[in-house]
Amino acid sequence: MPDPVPVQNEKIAWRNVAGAAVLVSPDESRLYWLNATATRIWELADGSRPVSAIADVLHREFDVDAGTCRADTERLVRAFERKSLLRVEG
Amino acid sequence: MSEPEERKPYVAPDWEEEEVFEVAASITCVQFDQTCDPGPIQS
Amino acid sequence: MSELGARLWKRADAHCIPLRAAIEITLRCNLRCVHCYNFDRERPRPPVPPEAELSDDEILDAIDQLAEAGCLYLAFTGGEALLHPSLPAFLERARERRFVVRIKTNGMLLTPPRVRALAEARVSAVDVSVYGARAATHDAVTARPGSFERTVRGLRHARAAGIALKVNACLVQENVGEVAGMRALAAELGAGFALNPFLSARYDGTRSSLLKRVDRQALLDLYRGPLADVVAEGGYVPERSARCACARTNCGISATGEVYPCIGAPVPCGNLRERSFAEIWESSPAMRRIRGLRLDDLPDCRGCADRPFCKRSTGTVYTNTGDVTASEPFFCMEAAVTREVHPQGAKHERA
Repeated sequence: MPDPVPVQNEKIAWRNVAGAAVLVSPDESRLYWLNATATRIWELADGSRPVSAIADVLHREFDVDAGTCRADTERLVRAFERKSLLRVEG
Repeated sequence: MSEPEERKPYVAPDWEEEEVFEVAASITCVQFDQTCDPGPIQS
Repeated sequence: MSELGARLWKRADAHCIPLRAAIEITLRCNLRCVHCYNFDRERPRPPVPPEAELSDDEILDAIDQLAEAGCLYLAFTGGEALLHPSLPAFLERARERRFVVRIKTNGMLLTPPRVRALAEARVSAVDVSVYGARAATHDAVTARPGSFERTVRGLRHARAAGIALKVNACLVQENVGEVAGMRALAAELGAGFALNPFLSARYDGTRSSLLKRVDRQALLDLYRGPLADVVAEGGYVPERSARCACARTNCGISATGEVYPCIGAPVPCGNLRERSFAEIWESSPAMRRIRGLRLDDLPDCRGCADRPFCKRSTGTVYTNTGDVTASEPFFCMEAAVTREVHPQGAKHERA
């Protein structure tokens, strides 16, 4: 199973605002508001760990089975890649 | 011996996104930033 | 404001996260504007010697501390920010820390190479101060012949590089007749436009800048004329609080390391050379007092029927009166004029 490494697009400005990651597109024209789980995935997508490792962290921190959080993590990473919020390596 | 940390309730990762428009013209309360006013906030 | 945008500011306000900050990186300037709030530039020597200004490392550290405190929108200002030789280093740090960055400038130093550097540094927007639609008017305010031409050239260079622009105009008696022209200039440059009629006294205590404020009739003519659409669009906010974002979602850092509730509110709260930003933001008594201000704390405002039309700025009121809870006649007058002109105004009886 492919296990790519997501890396945040460094052109995206962002902050964790009391638990919700808020992202701003490079031209400031779009705002993204992430829920708690997506925030966690985003924070972990720093280029140092593959999707499986991110899913492992979610599995430890959230009450969810391994299969669901792995699938959800992959889905979010692909969606964010399509939006150029992050890129995927490997 | 450490207790396993209590896991938080899980919600599928999701997000909202929106187009943001800067106001074309404004009369500002301060010369420093147009959007200084945080908008309607109950005092 | 967009729904997510409003939610963002509301959340930041609820948690008192300084989402927006301005850092004054130097007080040096290549202009001597007659209304400048920094200090009276007609004096022979500025009250703050250059060696008292924050070092490069101190500014870089301030940027880091602001990021840790949750700040997202960072503006570099001055003086003239583009005069600081280490601005590229500051921009790089801000980029690494994932800020949305804007620069406030008189625009005269926006040469093509500098503009390219700003674009590469991912500066999101540049706000350029303009004081007239004609050179004679603008140059009289800046006290520097030729400044208007250079500013407009700078604006054009920035536009060519695709940097988002805003024209920031201070309303003074000299340019009352040129507001339409300034708006047209901004529109021609694809720039936003912000007009500030609320001049303040200077941070050095001098007050001659206030002499430049326009009178009621001038404001009325403007609000009925070239600014009618702006007044109609944003002039009425029924739930508007008479307090602003000071010490809640705004903060400012002066050239000497003073931490303010807003760059426009020079209330001494603490200095970065002595305490951390977090400590000052969270624990300074002066900061907490301003953070906690409610409408009830403003004796002249709490019963005022013009509140939905009022743009009261804590900082300007403080600078002009010395009291953060005071009212200031100019704001009251502007609110009354707004009510008189605004379509919703007829519903509101004068208290």
